[in-house]
Amino acid sequence: MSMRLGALAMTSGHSGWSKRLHMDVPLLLMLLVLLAVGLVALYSASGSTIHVQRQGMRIGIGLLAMLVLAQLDPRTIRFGSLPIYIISLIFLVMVLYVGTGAMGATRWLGIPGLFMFQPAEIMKLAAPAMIAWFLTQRELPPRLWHVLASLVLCLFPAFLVVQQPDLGTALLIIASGLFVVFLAGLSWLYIAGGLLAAVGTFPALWLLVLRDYQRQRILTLFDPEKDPLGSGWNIIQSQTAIGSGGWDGKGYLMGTQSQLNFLPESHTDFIVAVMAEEFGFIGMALLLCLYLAIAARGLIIAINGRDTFGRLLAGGLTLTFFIYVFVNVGMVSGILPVVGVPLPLVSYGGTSIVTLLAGFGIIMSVATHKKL
Amino acid sequence: MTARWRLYLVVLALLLLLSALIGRVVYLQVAEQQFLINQGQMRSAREVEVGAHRGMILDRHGTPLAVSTPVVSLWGDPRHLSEADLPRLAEATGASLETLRQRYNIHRAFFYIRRQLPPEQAEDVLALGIPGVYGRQEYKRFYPAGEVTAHILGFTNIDDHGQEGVELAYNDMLVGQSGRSLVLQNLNGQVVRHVETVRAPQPGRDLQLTIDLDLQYKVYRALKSAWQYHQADWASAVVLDPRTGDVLAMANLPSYNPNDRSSIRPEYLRNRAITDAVEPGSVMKTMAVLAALNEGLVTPEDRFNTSPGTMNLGNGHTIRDFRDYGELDVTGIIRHSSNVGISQLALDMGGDRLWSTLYSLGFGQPIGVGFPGEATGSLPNRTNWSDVQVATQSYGYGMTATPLQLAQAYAVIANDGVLVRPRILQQSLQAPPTRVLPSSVVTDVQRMLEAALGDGGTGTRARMPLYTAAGKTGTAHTVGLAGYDENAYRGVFVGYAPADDPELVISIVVNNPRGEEYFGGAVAAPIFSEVMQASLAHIGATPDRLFAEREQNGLTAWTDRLRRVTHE
Repeated sequence: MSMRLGALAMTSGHSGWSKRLHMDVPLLLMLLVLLAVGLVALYSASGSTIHVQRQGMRIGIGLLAMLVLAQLDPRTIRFGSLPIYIISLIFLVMVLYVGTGAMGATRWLGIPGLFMFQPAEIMKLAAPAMIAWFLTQRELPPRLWHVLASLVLCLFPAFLVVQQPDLGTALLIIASGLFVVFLAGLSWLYIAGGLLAAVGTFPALWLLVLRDYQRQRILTLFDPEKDPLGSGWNIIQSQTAIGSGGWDGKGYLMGTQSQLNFLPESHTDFIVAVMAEEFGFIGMALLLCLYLAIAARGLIIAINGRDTFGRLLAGGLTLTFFIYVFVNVGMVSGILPVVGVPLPLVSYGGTSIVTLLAGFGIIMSVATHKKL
Repeated sequence: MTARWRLYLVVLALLLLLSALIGRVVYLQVAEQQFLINQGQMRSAREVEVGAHRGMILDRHGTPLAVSTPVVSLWGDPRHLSEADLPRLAEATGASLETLRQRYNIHRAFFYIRRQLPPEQAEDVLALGIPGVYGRQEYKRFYPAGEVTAHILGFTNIDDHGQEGVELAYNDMLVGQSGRSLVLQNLNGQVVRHVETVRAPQPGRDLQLTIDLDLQYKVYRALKSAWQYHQADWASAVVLDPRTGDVLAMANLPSYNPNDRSSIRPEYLRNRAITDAVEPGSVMKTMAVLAALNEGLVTPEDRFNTSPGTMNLGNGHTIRDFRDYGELDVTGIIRHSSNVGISQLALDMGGDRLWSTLYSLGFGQPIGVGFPGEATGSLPNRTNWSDVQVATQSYGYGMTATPLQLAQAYAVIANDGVLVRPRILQQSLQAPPTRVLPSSVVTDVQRMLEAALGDGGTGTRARMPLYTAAGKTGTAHTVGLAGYDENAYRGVFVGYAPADDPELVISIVVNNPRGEEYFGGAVAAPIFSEVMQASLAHIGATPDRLFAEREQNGLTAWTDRLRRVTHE
């Protein structure tokens, strides 16, 4: 079994076990490294092994989901797209009425204490799958009404998610849909028009859709010192954590900002600040490169996909994954508003780690079902 | 083809986003690094005050009289401390739950839970890990000699500031300068790590007193038993080294225990030897004689007729002697303490001359030992003295002096006319010794004071088996609310020993003894005898009386005597 870590372009399938399990070895290795790094950082950020144990359990479930989905032929996934999408929609509606909440948002569904999940997370997979299915039924590149229909397919669930409210996830659902449309060969005219429309609707969005606290977060981005003890606290503390890490960091478990509880949410959305403080610029650069490499591997898999549906879905999911990283690191380092997006595969909690790994299962499926 | 092109664009976009993130991180970590590192430290690093050790107070041999022991005061921050934790806290610290509740609800950010706990107990409480409970290192004052040195030392309040005595008088020297330490605190303000000492605390300076603790014990014990025996209001004793001015012992009763001041009463606090100026009575006759001899108005052999023991000064003022002493020379006036005799002598001399001698002996002026509430004493200086004023002043009425001032004046006699200012602090700067009277004059008075302890004198009970001594008794009516109290007296004795080469001066004042005896010769003189003998023995003075007896009776008698004494 030869494994060349640097060979991102290496096609999988020439070693026995990975072929049988439908695993893409480079991608799997990189994911495992990232997950391990995440657990190490989580221990520092949360200061307790309980968090690490729970996270490990979720990772286990996620890896299982990945393994299961990887076994499925992309065609099977394609046929499942519509029903899963519809079921997810129903879940999203249910959340609004019978969901369980925390901190002013109702996001969870299920039996409390036994099994709980966030339907919005499933929609992050279901929406791009649905759009990919929808577009591949039609002639490519898509026509205008196909594009508009695709937009509705992702905007409607996004709208439901905003009601929870969960702006970050809603944006990621829209992004995943748009990526699929884009990869399907969206005309530049539409893209330009869409951008203009987005800019045009921003004031309306600001006034009508965004809640007070969401507006507050965006305003805070531009002037965190305006309310340093309130909405600006997180940003100031996390920037301080990142900045004070310096070139090579303060050392593992030695970050003063995080270890002394100055940094809130240090084990969930803001975990990257802990890593930056303790491992410094070098650690950050390595982490971001790892993310980039995973995204690159995902794109290569997408390009080499056997059918259009697989290519679109794998590409869309990969790009969404990277956007995930960008939004999280961007908000923690203060170039994006705090929208509540976790650092993928590292931040503690949620269904996100399971759905992300499930997403990679789909990508693996695309990677390993090329030739009949 | 378009797909390829599209892919390149996607890759380009990804790289752009990535470089945006890395750029931001570089900006934060490199460009603003120092600023943000400082910010980070500002959030977690705090300079905290480190209490300084208060200086010790030592006796002349370096024995500690006042020491500071580290204690921990526990305090709470109601912003972090939950009210539900108060019962647990009360139980652990022994504080009253009610008090804690009250303080908790009144104070927003700081209240004392329990002050000055032993460090081990405080550690136990802190180990409970109740949020919002903190410890603060402090020092608590401890006085090993307790009530024996209470008046000299005074005490400090709970914040370690002097309130009385030396603790108050020399507070500035005793307090140190608190230091500062850099520590890391978490968001709740708990100290996580000690980083560095910014400024080490400067401990306060130690003070060395002239007091001899062993001697102080002996004086205090003797005075206390006499004070109890005579059921006196108060009693005071000063032991002074006339050659150096060192106050070797200074005791007052009633006293108090400075380590437990719960049952203290204001009158217990008075360091009477310094703060209470009283009319000294006949011990002042010595000064009148000194003045008259110094002015050359009389010689010791000049005789005064004191019969019939009374003297009418008009306006209903009659001066009385205890009995009719007949014709007395000046020595006889001192020995018998004749009011009539000394009044005749003083009236011949006049008030101005008496006043200037008294002033030169330090009466009516502060001694300047630096004690809080030091009394100056009153020494009226009038342009026209009435006969009554001159006469009464000559035997110690109409003027006041503290026990320490009396000791100071008698020290001049012991020093053959040289005034040495008393001091209580060894480091203190002293005014240079000054001659205030010619030694020939003083020598005459010394003989008279020795005679006062001789057979037939008023001070016979001041005599000691081992040492010769000289001194003078005094008895004065105390002053009540309605003038002089007919039935309340003050017994006084001031003297020095050994007579030929004085090493110690002692003044004893017993105010309002309620027993059978009240004369200075009966109340104060025995205390003088006991204290003086113990003191001289303590400092190792040669037992001159014993040697004199050996000369007279031969070696055997002397050794027998010595054996007997040392076995006592």
